[in-house]
Amino acid sequence: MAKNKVLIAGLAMTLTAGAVLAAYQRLVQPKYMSDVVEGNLIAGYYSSGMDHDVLFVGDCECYENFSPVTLWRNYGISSCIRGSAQQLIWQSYYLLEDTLRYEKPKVVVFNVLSMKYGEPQNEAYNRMSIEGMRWSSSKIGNIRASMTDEESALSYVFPVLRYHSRWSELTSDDFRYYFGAKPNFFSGYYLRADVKPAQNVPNPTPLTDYAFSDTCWDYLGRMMQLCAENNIQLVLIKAPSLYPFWYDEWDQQITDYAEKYHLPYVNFLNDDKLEATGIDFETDTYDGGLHLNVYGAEKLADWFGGYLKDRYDLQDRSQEPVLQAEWNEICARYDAEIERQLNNLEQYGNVKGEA
Amino acid sequence: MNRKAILAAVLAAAMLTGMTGCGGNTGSSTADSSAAADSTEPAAESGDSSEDLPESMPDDDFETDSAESSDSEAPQDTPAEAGAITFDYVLNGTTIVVGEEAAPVLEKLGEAESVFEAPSCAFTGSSYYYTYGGVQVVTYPDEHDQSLNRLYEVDLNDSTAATNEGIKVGDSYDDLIAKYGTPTQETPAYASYQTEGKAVRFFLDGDSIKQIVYTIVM
Amino acid sequence: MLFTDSLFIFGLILLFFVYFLIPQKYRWMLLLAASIAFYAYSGWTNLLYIGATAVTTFFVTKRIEKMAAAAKDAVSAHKSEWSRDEKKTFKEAEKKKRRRWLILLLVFNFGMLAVIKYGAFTMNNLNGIIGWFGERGTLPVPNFLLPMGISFYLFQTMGYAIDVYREKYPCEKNFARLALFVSFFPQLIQGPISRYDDLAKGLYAGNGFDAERVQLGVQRILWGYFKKVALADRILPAVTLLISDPEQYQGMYALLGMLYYTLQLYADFTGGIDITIGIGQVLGIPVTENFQRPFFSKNITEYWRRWHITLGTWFKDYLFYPVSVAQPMLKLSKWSREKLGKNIGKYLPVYVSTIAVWFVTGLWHGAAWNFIVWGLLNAVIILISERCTPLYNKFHKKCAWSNSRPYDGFMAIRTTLMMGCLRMFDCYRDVPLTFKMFGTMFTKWNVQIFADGSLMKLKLTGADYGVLIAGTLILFTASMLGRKGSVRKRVWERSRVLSCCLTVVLLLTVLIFGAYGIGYDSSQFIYNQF
Repeated sequence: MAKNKVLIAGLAMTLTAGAVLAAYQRLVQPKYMSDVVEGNLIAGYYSSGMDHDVLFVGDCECYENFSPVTLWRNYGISSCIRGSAQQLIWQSYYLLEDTLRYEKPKVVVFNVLSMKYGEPQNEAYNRMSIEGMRWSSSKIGNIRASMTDEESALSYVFPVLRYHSRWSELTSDDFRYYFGAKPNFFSGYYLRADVKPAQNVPNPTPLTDYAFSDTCWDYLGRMMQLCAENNIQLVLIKAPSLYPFWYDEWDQQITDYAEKYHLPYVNFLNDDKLEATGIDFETDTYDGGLHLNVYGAEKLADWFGGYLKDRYDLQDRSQEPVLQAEWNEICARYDAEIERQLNNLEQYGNVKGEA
Repeated sequence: MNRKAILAAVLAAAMLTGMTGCGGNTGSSTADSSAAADSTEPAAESGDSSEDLPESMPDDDFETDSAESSDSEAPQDTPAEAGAITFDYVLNGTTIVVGEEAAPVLEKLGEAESVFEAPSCAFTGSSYYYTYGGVQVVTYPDEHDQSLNRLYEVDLNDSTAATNEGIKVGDSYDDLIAKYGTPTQETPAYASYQTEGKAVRFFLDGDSIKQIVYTIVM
Repeated sequence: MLFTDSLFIFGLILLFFVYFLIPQKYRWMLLLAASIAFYAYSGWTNLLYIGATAVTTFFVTKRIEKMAAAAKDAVSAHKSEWSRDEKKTFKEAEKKKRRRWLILLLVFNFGMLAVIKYGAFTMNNLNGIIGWFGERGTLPVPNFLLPMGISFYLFQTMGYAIDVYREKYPCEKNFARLALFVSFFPQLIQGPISRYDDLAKGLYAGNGFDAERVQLGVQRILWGYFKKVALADRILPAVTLLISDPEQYQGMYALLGMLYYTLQLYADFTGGIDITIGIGQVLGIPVTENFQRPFFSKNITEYWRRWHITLGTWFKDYLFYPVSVAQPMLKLSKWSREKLGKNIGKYLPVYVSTIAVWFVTGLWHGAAWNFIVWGLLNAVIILISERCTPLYNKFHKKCAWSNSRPYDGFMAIRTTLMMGCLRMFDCYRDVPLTFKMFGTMFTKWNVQIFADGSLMKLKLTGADYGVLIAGTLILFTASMLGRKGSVRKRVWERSRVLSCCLTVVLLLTVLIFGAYGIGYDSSQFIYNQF
């Protein structure tokens, strides 16, 4: 009797504390709605109910430089991007693994910039890449591979341990989006409609060592193998960003690797590609050559859609009702977002509409 | 109170990696951190290093016995010169100390010929590249305070600018060694002289210097 | 490993479960295994030091006890043959033999401490002295890693050995059990310095599960964590900042640093002790209290009876008392009474032993002149106030108002501030700097910092101040309530449900308002380097 009482009391205390903490955790986890919206990119994927033929994995050079809406409108290709800010190669690998739990795309496109990072870099970016993932062995793998020395795995399992102090910084967003975020992206694409021409792009600062790390090669190999096992075509790309610098020494390593393993590698920075895609750094970038704006992203997607369709037998699926329904919704939001940003630009001089 | 523990905590905090994203200057910081890992070794263990690295730090105050040097290229008068290496570049009379706050230095330098801003991905801080003739000054946002910029690197890109010791782009490797002594670290691609937290590096194209970089070493 | 490491917390929860699941007679072995694991985690080599202490103490105490028993047997065997004087001489001689063993043990163990902890300090000072004579200091300066908690377990174990020598209780015959007494892990980080006769019984009994005890123990642990992570760790960055740059932070900043450090040290140290005692309570092992609302003390003598109690009583029992009655001291007493007159003669030996004890207490806190000066200043204040006691008594008799509550409060605040000022020696680099910083509190009158927002630039946000002020008030309230007995026990007796609520609230408070994780430097408990 007494024993039961103790058990019940213990259980009741644990459950109460657990419930309060869970509710509190939801409140203090960053909502990424008004600021640092990129934090919601990864989680957004799970709300999609359709399948995709093309999957992009990579960093900002993926999620800001290719417009999936253009791929859909111009080629009937259903695509999505699983990218986050400064997404490291193992994060891309585990996101690929994670995506394969839900669907099997025909083509996986990987942007190679992250080959330059051989070690965990930054907690804030890790959070944005990892926390949006659903729980799976891939997420655990991602946590283990990504953690910097200062981080603890436990705080990924219980994010309240990380964000507990945010009670003093709560904003209205934390209450408004308590039960869920509103979609900010377009199949993983982050849209910007403003223009800032690329000027005064500096001289590349030389490095003492250009060799990519073994860790990166290992993950690239694993990515290739995973694609092969699932009968997926892996395509390597280097997006047309003038900065961060993409050194010739780096490009050569990727070119050699692609040749060795018969992988297609498209470096959009090459003059012939720049000409073919029509990217103009006067008009097609919103931050002076780091990332493309929507006009650049549409140009790039248009050319790349043709490239992929010709080579990898991608069907025009624009007439499939399930896809149509969801893509119509995405396209409508996409157009509205461009309009909203253009209005803001006109009215306030910035896309966010900040006075 | 245990002052050592506090000091350690402060140092640890200071050593955390900066929050510069895909737009930051992390392109070079990767290489820098690896270079730092390589090159602190000979500096610390110069006595028993089996590599063909020099026997003393270039910034040592006292002269070293050059007879010990296995490097026949190092002339006899090297160490005296080596003692005088400066790691803070002086541009138009303004001393640029890498790692320090950028604003006061930039103000003194006056308006740059051109400025390039590289915002951090998703966050607010930016790296900046300021060009003054053949000299490029790079800043990065402080890891704790994104609005505070620190000096990261000074690049000498053409022969119009010389180091404080008089070495400039286009000079030969032998000129360099004559002036600077044996490098702390070198490969066919570059020669690096290092002190605590800072380095000056000479990137080589065959026998001649193609670029000179003053940088922080993390 | 620190109390705040997640590994420690997980290990502790696991230990609690396993402890009550295994049969009673094996429980102490589990504690021993946990203690060894805990200690080994801080470095395998550290096990050698603590192992050496345990082994030497085990054999020497056994030996001493055997010798004492043999001597007794001999006396009773020759009861009729020996005269009284013969018996006395024999006993004395035997005691001397036993004392030799004890001294051997003490010299070995304290020698180990001296070399590890004070070797570098001694050599540096010797080099300095050599320097006065124009030579360059050339003695080698050793650099040992201080084994965790060495000052705590060593003092505890030596106290045990001395007690066995004094025949206060029989020695422990089982080495493993003694090893547990030496290494009981919750005490290794910050103490307290327990006595064998207090601790041992609970340690080996393997007490059963008792809902009340476990509940109150868990609450005590959580209360300790609250002090530690919500208050001490939160204010630590400000303390660090204020003392790291004495050029910039002078005057009122020095005062602020002193106050912040007072709170930080109190919350950190008493919090750690709460955790230790709470763990003991859950396991059914009574651990000696180390604090008794020290900031309510009316004077420094009282303060030292209520702050770090076990250290004070240790020094009293094993140093002050023996020094006072030692032969040379008695001789000194006699000599001074004869030569210097009754008045001075009476006090001199007390002064000498007080100063000696405080010198050692200072040294115990750290191998630096700061601590020695700190200890000596304590002694000076204590001796002066002792001499002034008649004056005080007169004052209290004459002025009735001085016997009121508010005046008590004033005295408590005065004591707290005085101790805070003394503790500035902990903070600054050396003795002259400490005096200088203390001086700026009176010479540099930059009071504007309290109003112009400077307080917000000390690595503390408004939210931090909110938590710190609320937390300090809670601490104060709890202390006030605690004067009438344990608050936790009273809540439990009133209502079990309320008690459960208290546990949950404490847990949530620690998790939500604690300063832990990225963004805070996880500090080491201040006392675990001593």
